Amino acid sequence: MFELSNYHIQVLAFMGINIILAVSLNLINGFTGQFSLGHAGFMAIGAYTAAILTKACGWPFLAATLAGAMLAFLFGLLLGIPILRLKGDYLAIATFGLSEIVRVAIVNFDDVSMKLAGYVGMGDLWPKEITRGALGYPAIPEVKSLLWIYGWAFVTCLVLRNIVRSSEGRAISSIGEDELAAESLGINTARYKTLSFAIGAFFAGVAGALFAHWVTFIKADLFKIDKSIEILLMVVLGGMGSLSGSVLGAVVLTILPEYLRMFAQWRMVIYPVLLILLMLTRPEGLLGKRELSSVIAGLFTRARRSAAAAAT
Amino acid sequence: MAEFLQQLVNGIALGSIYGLIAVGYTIVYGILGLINFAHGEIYMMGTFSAFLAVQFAKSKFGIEMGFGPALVLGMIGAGILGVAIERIAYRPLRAKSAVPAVLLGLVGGGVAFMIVDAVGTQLGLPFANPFALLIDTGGSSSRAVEATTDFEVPSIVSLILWAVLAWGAYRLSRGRLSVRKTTKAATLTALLTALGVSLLLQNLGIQMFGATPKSFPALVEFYPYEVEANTAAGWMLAAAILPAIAVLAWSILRRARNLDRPTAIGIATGVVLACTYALSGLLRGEGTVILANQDLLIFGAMVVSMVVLQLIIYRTKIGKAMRAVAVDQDAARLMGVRLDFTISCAFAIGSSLAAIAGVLYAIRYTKIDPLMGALPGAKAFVAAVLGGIGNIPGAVVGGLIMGVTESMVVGYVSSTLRDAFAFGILILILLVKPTGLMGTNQPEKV
Repeated sequence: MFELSNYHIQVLAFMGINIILAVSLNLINGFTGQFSLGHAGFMAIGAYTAAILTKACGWPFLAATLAGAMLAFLFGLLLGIPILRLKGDYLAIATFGLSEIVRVAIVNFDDVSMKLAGYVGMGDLWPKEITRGALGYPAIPEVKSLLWIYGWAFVTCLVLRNIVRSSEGRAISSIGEDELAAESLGINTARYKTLSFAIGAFFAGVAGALFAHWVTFIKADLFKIDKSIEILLMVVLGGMGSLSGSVLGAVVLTILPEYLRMFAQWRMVIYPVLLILLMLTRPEGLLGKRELSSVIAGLFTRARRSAAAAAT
Repeated sequence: MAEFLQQLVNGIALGSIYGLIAVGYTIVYGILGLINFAHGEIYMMGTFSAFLAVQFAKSKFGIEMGFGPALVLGMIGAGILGVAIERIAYRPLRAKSAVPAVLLGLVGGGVAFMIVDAVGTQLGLPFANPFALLIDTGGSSSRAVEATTDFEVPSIVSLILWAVLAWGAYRLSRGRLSVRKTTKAATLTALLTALGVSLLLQNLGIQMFGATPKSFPALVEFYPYEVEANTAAGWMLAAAILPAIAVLAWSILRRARNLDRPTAIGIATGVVLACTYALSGLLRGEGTVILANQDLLIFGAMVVSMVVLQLIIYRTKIGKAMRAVAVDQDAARLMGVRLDFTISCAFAIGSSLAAIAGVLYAIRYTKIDPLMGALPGAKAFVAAVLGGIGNIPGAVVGGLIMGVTESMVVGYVSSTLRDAFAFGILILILLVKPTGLMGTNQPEKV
């Protein structure tokens, strides 16, 4: 057996986390057709909640992960109800604003909650340091296990695949195809949009928790708009509305920057250029709306057909 | 209430800058229906072109460039960049055309240059950063710090090399690739392209100018006018606040409530009188307010630019063309409006306004860096949405509201919460009145 170096394990771990993020964002952006730029915000909620629970409260890892994810889910549900009334560009900007607010809230959490606790009269009881502001949250208990990450990635893909194939999933896809038509067919669009938004947020929270316990040091600046765009890019590269496409996109876009390292500082210049070129030449992504299985099956039937044509 | 007035002054200066940027968003959105996310980066690049021009003139010719020429050069730089972005990245999304080989040329040239550079470094001949030639502030760019070898190829050679390589890549790729049109998800594609351009410009800026902040030369020396709070209150009531309230009341009454002219005038006058009474009571107080000459300059420049912009839009042929395209692209083209030229003009105007904002910002707040455009860009977008996107006076009003709110938050709440408030306003306005304060409602058509 060959041994994996630490570097390779690190890349593999980030790849798994990115798969969770991309697949869950695809439910919101691809299937439901709601342009969200706020995925990093939900990731931040999950990461901070889980980190605080394992470190300060001594919760077990799985429970903390689930708690972080549930909090992200609740945020997605509560914020989704008003926000998802917006469409297109406006929705993108509003979700971007939301994730910025989450970030600023994390940075200012200690000060503000301290003051609030002081007003209620429990200033002495309130812990002084919860999120530790802009300095970042250090020394999170380490859970460096690829098994956890890929286990969660598998669960994410399985759950989303089942959702997409269920009747709820059909309703969600129909909103993505044409919201007005879906509404006129009697589909409760607000309900399904919020549902898919919250489910996406849930798995973003999971990814955040896994990330926090892998890197053991998080700070609010890690979850800026750049992170959201990075996830979005994976979804777009793979194909909006294709789960296996998102997995593919996450894999490619985790490995590609590692190869771009040879260009050192020019890496972040080449990256957006690739995005623009992708948008100009193949806006539907690598797989479009198809799944990998159907693409491969299509290849076989074509090969068989051409073989049959050659035989006759 | 000196503290309040001081924050108001700061807020109006900041708001004028937001307003100037917001107008660029609003013009482009009005004409193309596209949110130009790269606008904040155009603002940054405009500021840097003014900065480079000043530095270049000083280091190469020993000329101390004044405020006027620097501003004009910044506007020209930003204008060219805006038109180029439209031509390279946005036009292919709109019309059937080949993938702009220019972009591929630049990238291909860049990649080829990096390979040549890598080989050169192996041979002990590191190429200097081509843009270090322009900056020349000593160790400002990352490459300039790294390359300390004796045998350094001069940056002018690097620049020529890059240009040659880019030209070659351009010739090779021209006409080879063509765009596949997909009508579905066009907004998404446009939005992502804009995000890509914005990221690209930020990182290109970091590579070209270095990530460390630079101090912008004081083209206009800081000079504070100290004014008694009472006097300042009187001035501001007369000069800025009351006219603003009057215009705001007038346009809301006319547009949103569809009142006829005399009634609107009557109500607006009433509102202004009531506000005068309330404000004069509120603003009376002890202490002094500092009016910086730079703040006055910012406000003045904003007013002048807006007047000129209104003249362009309502009194010239190209302005008429822009208004026509905003109403209906196809119909305008059938009437003989040159669509592409008109859109380019809109980009040029919006970008040069952003450059004005950038240069003024740099003079007032002295520090510039490649990421300076991200946050003001986002806030100016909020301002444009707040005022009703597509509406030029709305963008200015939105900018002023944003600036004053931000400055009040800094003064009375907490300076770290300023960004949260800005985006809070955005979400609030989107939920309550998505068309903005002065926007018109457009029903969704099937």
